[in-house]
Amino acid sequence: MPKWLSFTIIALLGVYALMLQSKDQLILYINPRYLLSATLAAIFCVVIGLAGYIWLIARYKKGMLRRIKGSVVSFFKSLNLGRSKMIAIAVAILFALVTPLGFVLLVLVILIPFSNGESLLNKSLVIEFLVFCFVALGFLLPAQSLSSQAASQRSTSLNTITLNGELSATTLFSFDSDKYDVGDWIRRINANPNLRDYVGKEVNITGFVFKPNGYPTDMFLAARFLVSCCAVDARPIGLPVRLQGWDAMYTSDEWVNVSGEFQLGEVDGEQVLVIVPAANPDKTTQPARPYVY
Amino acid sequence: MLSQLRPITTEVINFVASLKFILAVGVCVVFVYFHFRYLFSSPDFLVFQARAQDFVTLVLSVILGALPFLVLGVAVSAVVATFINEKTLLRLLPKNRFGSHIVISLLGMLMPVCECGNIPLARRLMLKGFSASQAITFLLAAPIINIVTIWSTFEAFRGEPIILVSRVVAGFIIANFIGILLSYKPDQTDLLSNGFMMEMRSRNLVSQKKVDILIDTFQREFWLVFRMLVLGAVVAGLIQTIIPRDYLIGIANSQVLSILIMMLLGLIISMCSSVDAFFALSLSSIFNTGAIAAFLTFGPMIDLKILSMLKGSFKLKTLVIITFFVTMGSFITGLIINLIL
Repeated sequence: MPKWLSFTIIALLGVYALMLQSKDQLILYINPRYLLSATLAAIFCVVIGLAGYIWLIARYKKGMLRRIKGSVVSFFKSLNLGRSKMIAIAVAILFALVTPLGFVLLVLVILIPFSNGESLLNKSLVIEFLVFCFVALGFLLPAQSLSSQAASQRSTSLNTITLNGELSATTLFSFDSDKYDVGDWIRRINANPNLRDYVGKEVNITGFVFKPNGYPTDMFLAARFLVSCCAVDARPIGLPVRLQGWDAMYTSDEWVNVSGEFQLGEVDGEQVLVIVPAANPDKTTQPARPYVY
Repeated sequence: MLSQLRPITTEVINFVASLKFILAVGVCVVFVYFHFRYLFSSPDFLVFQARAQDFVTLVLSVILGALPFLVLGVAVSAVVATFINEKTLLRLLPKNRFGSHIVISLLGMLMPVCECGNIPLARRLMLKGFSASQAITFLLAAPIINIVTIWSTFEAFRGEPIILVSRVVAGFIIANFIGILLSYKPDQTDLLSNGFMMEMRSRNLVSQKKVDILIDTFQREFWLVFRMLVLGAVVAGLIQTIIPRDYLIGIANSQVLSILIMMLLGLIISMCSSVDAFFALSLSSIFNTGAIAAFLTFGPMIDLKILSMLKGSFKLKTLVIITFFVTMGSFITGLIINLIL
């Protein structure tokens, strides 16, 4: 890995993280308590990248451009681009421009061995290729939170989840429970699991529509992802909503405001609290901070 | 005439073969494209698209979450490589067997380095007078018992402090056990490889300007750590999005199998200890706590990258002994935790 490329990647990484933070999207990937340290680290990366360029120029002065050109040329030489490979790449790039699946084709062309047993990419460069792909994807794709597909890959059993945040005294004893969000309710119910205490209480929450396996047909989960450190450890939590015919009105991943009151219900043989909405929940947009911590 | 024909024939065959390949794949892509073009709202395609997007989100979240620790770990490692005077360290060590090993195992607190900076540093220590067993204790302990690793493990597993505790305690015990065991061997140089022995005799340490070492070490180590972080993130993302949950639940429930699989992953995925807690975190819903603890103890000490780097300095029998005890120690750690919980 030539030094100039190393510094470029370091700087790009920092720029990417700062770009996300400037659009307030870094929160979709990591817990808010890390925003400051991640931003500082990103700034440091940009600074080091620039310092690296300065250092290289100071060391090699005019020879720097020659070195960059030299490493690019020797890289392309190492690819052994014969005519057949060049045609293959050209065709793959054409497809990539036409359809998104063509992008997959381009990746395949680069990775899969040709008839002479060698792939376009030196085996030792596969990981480098992966890194470039993801840095590029980070810049090209819009930042997104996890979808309900990710939710269905994870357990939704509330018994296996204990929230990290402690219940503050005000939350525990306040009667402002009509302002609780999903996380507040789960903490409260964890602290006092006597379900009958909650029957009839008013509930106003926002979550995305998600139907876990094994749920009755008239129920869906108004869910959010519980994140402890970063999106990779996200688990879905939520409150069941009982609404006849909901699947005709809403699709998975749509965000809704649910207003209603708690009643007792049954899911998978277990007694749970379900929200019985006063009216059909409004559709809304994904909140800026979609996760619960 | 015939000898001129052969290269051209090979070229043509390559051309046609790759053309066929491209045509075949191209036809498949076009077919799939038109199949889905009229079914873009088909559930299968949307599921695939959502999963693919989730995969990218997961990989990026591992990278972004680990970023502060990555930067910190590499920065400190570069500073250590530039400024540490090994002779001073040697003078400050206790002279007795147990004391010297224990102090060395705690040196990592002052000098957080993972394998990239660890092994060159251990080699320099040996060149400056440390015994092989002392260097081995440092090699095994420093990746775990250091501020950056402890902090990143703490942050990643806030809800399960047993993981951090077991990682540090097991690391300390294993590193000292192996080092002290090996220190009973009277001829310490017998543990070292021939190549390294020759290097010990002809010491010509190149002196460079401090600034050069600092910046060069930083970019080199950053790249080494970052590329493995991305690889680990990709593997974790694939495991989370592709493998059906039913398979995974079976693994998580089995006490022994999950530990073994995590240790195998730790062997193959040579991640730097300053950020491997994030990789382990992504698998924490699949593997039980003991398996995670075993991974976090085993990975920093022994993995394919470390072994290939140690090959140059130590004899095979030394590596076998180290690997055996590290494996046993990590496995037992995992078992104990699973039995307690």
